Amino acid sequence: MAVVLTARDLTRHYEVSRGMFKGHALVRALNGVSFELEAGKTLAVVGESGCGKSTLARALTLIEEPSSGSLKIAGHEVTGASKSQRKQMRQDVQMVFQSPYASLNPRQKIGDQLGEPLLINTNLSRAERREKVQAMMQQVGLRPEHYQRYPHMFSGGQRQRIALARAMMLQPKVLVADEPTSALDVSIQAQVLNLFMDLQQQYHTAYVFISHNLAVVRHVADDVLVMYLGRPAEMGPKEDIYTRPLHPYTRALLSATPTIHQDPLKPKIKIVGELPNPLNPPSGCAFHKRCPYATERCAAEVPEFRKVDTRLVACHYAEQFL
Amino acid sequence: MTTNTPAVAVDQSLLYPSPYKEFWQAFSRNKGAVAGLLFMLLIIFCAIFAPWVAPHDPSEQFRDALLTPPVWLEGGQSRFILGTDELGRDLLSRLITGSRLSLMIGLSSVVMSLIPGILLGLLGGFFPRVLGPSIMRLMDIMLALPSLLLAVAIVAILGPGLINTVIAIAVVSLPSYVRLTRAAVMGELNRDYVTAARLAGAGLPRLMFITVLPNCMAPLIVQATLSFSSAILDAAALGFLGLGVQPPTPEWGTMLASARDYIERAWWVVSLPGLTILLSVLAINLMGDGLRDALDPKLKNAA
Repeated sequence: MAVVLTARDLTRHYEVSRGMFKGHALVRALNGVSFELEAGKTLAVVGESGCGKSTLARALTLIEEPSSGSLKIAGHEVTGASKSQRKQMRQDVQMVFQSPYASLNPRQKIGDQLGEPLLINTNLSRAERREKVQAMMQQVGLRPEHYQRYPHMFSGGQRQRIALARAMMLQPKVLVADEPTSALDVSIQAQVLNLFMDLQQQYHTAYVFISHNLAVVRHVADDVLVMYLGRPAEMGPKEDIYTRPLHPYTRALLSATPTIHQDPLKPKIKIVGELPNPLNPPSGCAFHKRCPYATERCAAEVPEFRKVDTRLVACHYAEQFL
Repeated sequence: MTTNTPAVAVDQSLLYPSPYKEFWQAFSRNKGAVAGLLFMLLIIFCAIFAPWVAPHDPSEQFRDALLTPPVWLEGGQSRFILGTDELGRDLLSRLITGSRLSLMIGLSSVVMSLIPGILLGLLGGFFPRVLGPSIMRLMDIMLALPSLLLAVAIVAILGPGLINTVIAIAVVSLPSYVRLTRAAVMGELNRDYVTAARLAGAGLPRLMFITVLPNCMAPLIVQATLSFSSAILDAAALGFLGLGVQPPTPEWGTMLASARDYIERAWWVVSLPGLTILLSVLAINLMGDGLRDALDPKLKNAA
């Protein structure tokens, strides 16, 4: 399988001003994330709000330059690429946004919006573009007469399918989906998710699927990356992570998934407190202040992101949970 | 015996109304806007065909009929339907001929401030760190000066005359367009559809004019119609100070200003130009409202 996306130690820091006389502070929104993604596979990124998921999405889609680290798209290095190379690479990474209400231009007809990537990046004639757009519209379940309509005439689910169609117009190698179903009705979510998976099978696109809905992730993902405060906490194959999470944070996340029949053998793990202030992260393991198993070592030493069993974990005591 | 039912294979999009028809349907739903449009068409017709429509030459002085009241008042004459002014000139003819200049001043000053205003606003919004502050501070300086004073200063530098008046009015109304555009642009730039257009590879001109600008037009259309009317009034004020259109030429604002001495003796000399300005301003504003609604796809209730 061809690797289409390689991230090495990807970091993104923001400088924020704290007022007139205080100087600047550094927010480490993304702090050393590495992964590889093969064509046709899905990597799900999970974590609570503010853990750097969306920053990761922005870095992967070249909207924002990473502060350091390297990013390879389809074998080409992104950092240090020239403008024209960058333009070429942009075509290979597309994105589907969280809110289908904000991600479509309210003043542009659906047909024009879907045709825009083709207009900019290809030399197809008007008729050829139209044909391609119509074909894609049919694939995502829109009728041909929707071509002339404006976004406000569609429901949320339809809009998200339009957004997906627009992202797939150039047949990108990587599709970043930033919580694509969280703004939708539960009844529509499955429909949109199945469409995502159908298109993936057909075009062999690699997905980076950002979500905080663990049930959705279990449905679509091949690999799961759990993030905490800009750092990877645990990454590995979906089944391993779901059946035997090693990082205490992953365990807590999974036990927080609501179920109808609570398994009495699986106690609910409650995490206390809130996500620490990223301006002032705790020393050592970022999770130690909320971790029920934390020891002195956790407060002093940053755990290495190391291989344990079949996955990578950033916890000093991962072996104990095996 | 042809059947009227459309064939199954007909391209559905062809059945959709053309953009013009669609626009007219949305526009004609607003009765006030249609009334405004009709009134404006009347004025524009008068302006274009003024020499044929006007009953008299606008500068011909009937010395025997100074300050004749309109025809429906006591002492009115049927040859002067709206009466005459202090020099015996026919008021109706002057209003009709004056519409030419007044509309010209309004239109050209709006266009001359709208286009640079939008460009500056877009630049200020798209480059909030580099160009934005300097453009906005410049606009703030212009806003800090009383608008009429600034206009007077500009005309004083350029010299009195019609074209310089238009330039002065355009410069004075520039800051509001720049501010409106920039504010709207900055609001829109953070939305996901702009990011999506960037991801699709859209360059700066495309982002500016095709992606963002159409979404910022609503306040600009309203502002343009409002400033159309204030341009007419500003031109009148400049004319009053002797810096605008020079007296013998008929122009609504100048007519209003020059007749102020007779407001007690002959109300029609002042009121009729004023009324004409009021009605055209109202008509333009109604039209602008309808235009804004018709151009907004969200307010169209097509199927």
